[in-house]
Amino acid sequence: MNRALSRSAWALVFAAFLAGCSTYGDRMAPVEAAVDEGNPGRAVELLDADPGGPGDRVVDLLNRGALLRMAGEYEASNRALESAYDAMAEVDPLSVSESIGSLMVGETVFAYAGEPHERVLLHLLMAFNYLDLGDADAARVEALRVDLRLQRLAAEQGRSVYRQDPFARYLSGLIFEHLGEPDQALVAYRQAFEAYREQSERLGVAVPGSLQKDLLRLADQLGLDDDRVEWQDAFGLEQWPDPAEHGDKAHAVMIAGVGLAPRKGEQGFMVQDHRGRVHSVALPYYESRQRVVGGFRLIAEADSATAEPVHDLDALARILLNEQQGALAARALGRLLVQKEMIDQAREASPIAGLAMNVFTVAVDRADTRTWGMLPAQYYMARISLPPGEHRLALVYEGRSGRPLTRVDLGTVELKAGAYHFLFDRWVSPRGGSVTRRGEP
Amino acid sequence: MRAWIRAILVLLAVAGVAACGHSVERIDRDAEHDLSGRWNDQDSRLVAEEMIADALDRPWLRDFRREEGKRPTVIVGGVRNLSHEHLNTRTFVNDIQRELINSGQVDFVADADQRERIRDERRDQDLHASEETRKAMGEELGADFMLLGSVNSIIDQEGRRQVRYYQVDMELISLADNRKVWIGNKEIRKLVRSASARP
Repeated sequence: MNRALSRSAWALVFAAFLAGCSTYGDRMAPVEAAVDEGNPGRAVELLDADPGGPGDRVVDLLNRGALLRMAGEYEASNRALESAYDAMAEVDPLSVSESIGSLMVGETVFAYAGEPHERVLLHLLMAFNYLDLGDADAARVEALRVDLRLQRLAAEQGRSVYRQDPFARYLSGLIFEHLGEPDQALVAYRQAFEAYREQSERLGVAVPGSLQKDLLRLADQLGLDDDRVEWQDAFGLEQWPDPAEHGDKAHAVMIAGVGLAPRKGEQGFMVQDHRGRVHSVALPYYESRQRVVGGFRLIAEADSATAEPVHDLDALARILLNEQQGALAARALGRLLVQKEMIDQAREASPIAGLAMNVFTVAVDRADTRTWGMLPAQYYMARISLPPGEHRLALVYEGRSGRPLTRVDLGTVELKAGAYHFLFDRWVSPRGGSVTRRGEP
Repeated sequence: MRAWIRAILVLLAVAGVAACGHSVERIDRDAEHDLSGRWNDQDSRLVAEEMIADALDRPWLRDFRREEGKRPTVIVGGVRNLSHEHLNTRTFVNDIQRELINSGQVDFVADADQRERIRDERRDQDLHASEETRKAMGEELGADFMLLGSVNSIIDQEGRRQVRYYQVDMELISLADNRKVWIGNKEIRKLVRSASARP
């Protein structure tokens, strides 16, 4: 009877504590709901109304930057993302107190420094903002910062599938070409091609057809015959744009982010050892979201182009978390040993103190569910080459079966010969559709 | 075992104390404070001073004065940022303008944006100012030379060390015939070591 009562008391105490500890996902739920309704401005207000602690500064700034971008506030978005970049640098060195604290309490003690792909995507979003603001030189700065980040990534992520970011390289190449630097662009396209080829099996994103044509066209333009022959064999292409004709035409580049990056959840279990101590192990996992969009079509008056997938952040986030699970489990095991000693020490003082310490260790040991959830799940890109001049453009999102979902009128766009005109859109859910609020350039 | 728990608590306390403290002090404009290794106000000012001193010491200035019998009029066309970081090129352009004007060896005219604002004011004066104080249109001083430039960078990194190399290139171009009368460059190299641990 006493034993049963004791177990019930334990269960009640645990339930009370666990109910009181909300995760990052809980805090972001209303923000996500506002985005889902197609109201990113309201989502920013909700995020600002419930800020996290100092350890959440980076993830809050990243989400804020992404939301402000959706709301068409590109300069404010860049301020938030630049602050996130600085905050990442501040928390990058290993913290002594956080390392010790994580051994006693859990992974949430660590200040959030951003997942490897998030640290690259930060620069891409900033580049998108600068392109929307019409500042291609500043977008070029982001392309160079991406290069620095990716150099570091290749050194840090030695055995990971993610040692390069093909889409970041591809976009960098487009920016270089837009600014009249074809040699720099070719280097970036080549790196993008190699990264797509290396990662396609794991991530499911093939080398985009537009990138294949860009490589062949620039090989022609720069007189790299050996490369052209090699790539022609690899791609099996017979036709690609002539460099002179390409220079005479204007080019619209439409990039759309669809869905939301996967939400992190917590899976855990509790065990009771032979001395009655209860231990908890909590590990993060990614929750699946419904994938609705399968692509889009970019439509001009007399022509249209089908988008190709260029980045799958959903798949990448899952792969990176899987790669980390071994280290997370090892740290959880180390934490169990430290917590066992803490409970025993407290028990020596008094059984009540031991019970309280045990309840504390179970309640606070939560998985780290922080993530840049306002990123899209996938990026798609469509390219269309048109005669220079004014063109009315639109895009139509399509479901996974090819059924049209949402039409977005992009208005009349002035396209100049030889230049790339970058256009962006963001589709979140069937309810909210395209949430992009286009500011005045 | 108690000893190591105590040690942990002491370490946490030390870390907590180390994290405390926020202060502000005014510092001398010329004092060297390079906190991050990025391009900063001092880099901007020193490069502007040295490059303009070099430009004013070259033959183009003497040649122009001898041929035209007056000081040359210069305009800053723009400085393009081709580096790895977002630089405030406007402060750099301002530093260059200040050095040129203060040298007293060249005349300096307003840039395109400023000119538009001044022309608006003249248009306003045409309607509202008295005849004695009104400034006429079409009396502007045309520039003889345009100063154009760019900031490039190369960053070499390994682990927590970075060598940041900045190269500032500037050219003075004759507006009459596109002749480049002066080319200058200034290089800055910095070694940056990032902390490997924090409290």
